[in-house]
Formats: sequence, C-alpha cells, structure tokens
Amino acid sequence: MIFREVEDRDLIAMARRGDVEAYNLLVSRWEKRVFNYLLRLVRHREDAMDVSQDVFLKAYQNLPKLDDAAKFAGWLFRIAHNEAFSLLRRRKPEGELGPETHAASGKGSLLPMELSLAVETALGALTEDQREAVLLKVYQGFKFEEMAEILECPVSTVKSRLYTALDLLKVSLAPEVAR
Amino acid sequence: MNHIDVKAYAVGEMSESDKRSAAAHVASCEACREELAGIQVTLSSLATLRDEEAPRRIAFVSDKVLEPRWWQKMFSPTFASACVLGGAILFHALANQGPSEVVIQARVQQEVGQAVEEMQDRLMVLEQQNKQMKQTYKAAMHLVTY
Repeated sequence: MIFREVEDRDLIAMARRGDVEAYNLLVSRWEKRVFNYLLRLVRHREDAMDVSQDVFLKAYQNLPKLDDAAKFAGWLFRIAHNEAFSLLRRRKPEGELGPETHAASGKGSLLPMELSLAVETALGALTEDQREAVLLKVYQGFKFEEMAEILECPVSTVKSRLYTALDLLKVSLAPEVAR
Repeated sequence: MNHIDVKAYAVGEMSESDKRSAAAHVASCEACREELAGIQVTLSSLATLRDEEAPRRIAFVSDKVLEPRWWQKMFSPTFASACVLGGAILFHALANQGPSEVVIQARVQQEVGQAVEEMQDRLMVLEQQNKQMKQTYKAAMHLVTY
C-alpha cells in the first residue's frame, strides 16, 4: 500500500468541488509566504493581514479559472501583487506610512538586529517595483519567467528591476556589513 | 574578455551547463569574481531578514450554498469505480452462463472477494489520507486566534 502526502493539487481539486476544509488546509500552507511578501511590499502589518485575507478569498472565488494546478504559486502571487498594488495606489503618496514591519514586532531577528533593521531600511528605500522584484526572487525563489507572469511584464523588465535593486542594496548595505 | 551575467549566476538563473562555464569564467576573471563577492554579501545580508508569523490565521467557514449536492457527491471517484466494478462482475456472470450454477457462484464469489479486497485497500488509503488531513487541519485550527 502506498501512502503519499496530500499535495496542493489534491487540495485544489477538492476545494474546486466546494470542500472548504481542503481550502483552509491549502491556505495554511501558503498564508505565511503570502503574508510576508505583502508585509515587505506594503510595509504595514494590519494592511498586509487584511490584503492576505482578500487574496485568499479572491483565490477561492477564482479557483475554477486556474487552468493548471501546478501553476498555483505564481497564480496566487499574481493575485497578491494585484491586491497589494491596488492598496498602494489608494495609499499614495508613498511615505506617509512609515515602515512598521520588523521594527514593530521585534520578532524573528535571529541574527544581529542592526543588520536586520538595516536590510529593512534598505528595502524600504527601493521603489515598490524594485522591492517587489527582490521579494519575489530572493525571498520567494521564483524564476524570472514566473516573475514576468506574476508582474505581467517582460523578463527584461524583471531583470532590470532586480539588478538595479541589487546594486542599490549593495551600496546601502555596504557600511552595515563592514561594521 | 566577454564577461558573464554575474547577477543571474548569483541568483541561480542559469542552466547547469551555463553555471559550469560561468564558474570557470569567475575563477579566471578578477572583475567578475569581485562583483560576485559583492552580490553574495548583499544576498547574505538580505537573508538575515526572517519570515514573520501572521498575526491571525486565515480560515474560511463552509457555505452550504457552495457545497456539492447529494447527487454530485454520488459521482465521486470512489462511488464511480465501485459502480464500474459491480457492473463488470454482473456482466461477467451473465456473459458466461455456460458452466454450472455452482461454478458461476464460485466465480462470482471470487470476483466479488477480489473486488471487496481492492475496495477495502482503496478505502484504507482514503481513510489514512482523510485522517492525515484532519490532523493537519486540526493542528492548524488549534492555532487560530480570533
């Protein structure tokens, strides 16, 4: 008898048939990743939490439209991207809300706090597009092609945003690293 | 000398063969080596930022309107496979009426026995999966804070 772990595609299939418990299990697998992506993008804990809930509700409502269950991650982050930028557009001008992420919680800083805070500040200094490119590549591990699908832009744009961001981060983090 | 795309190399956006030739290039090119070292320091710094737990768990409650009807549930894979199996047994029994009644009965019993065994195995797998899912879900629900 062969036992196998219940995979996302099984849960997606069950959720499509109206199984809310299966969908809740799927949410529990992805909520931390989505929340952290949104937290670093919108830089506000409550907003990130609210948007996360909206993302998973929209995902549930649109699950029948997902063509390929194997592409669930990219599809989910595309919804998250759209919801986040919808919020950011409503919130303009940027900068009225200060960074309220790790500094507010004080949790999760396993390595020297100064460096974590410096990273937080350096990420905050990037444009939203540049920051998102770093979040999707460095923290979420998406490939350039997947990022291009999530962001609905050419791969060359994705690379340009990421490379510029890495150059800026290198400069802004250099003094912290040299300490 | 043609330099490589050091950033693509650093973030793992190269095929295995490209990676090998890039590694060879970096070993012999000081400019690329320096650039790579700088990017790696930046990536290491970025890695110090840890994921946070969400302040609340996200969970949805069942909406009866969206739940499948009883007749939809009947068309589950388990039920459908049981119907197909039952039909096959019946067809087999009817199509082979030549032998005596005892032989037919033995054959049917054998077929039914096999089918029951298969279904029991299948049921056990489904029960295990169900149990595993319930445990995971229960653990997740335990953490929900409202």
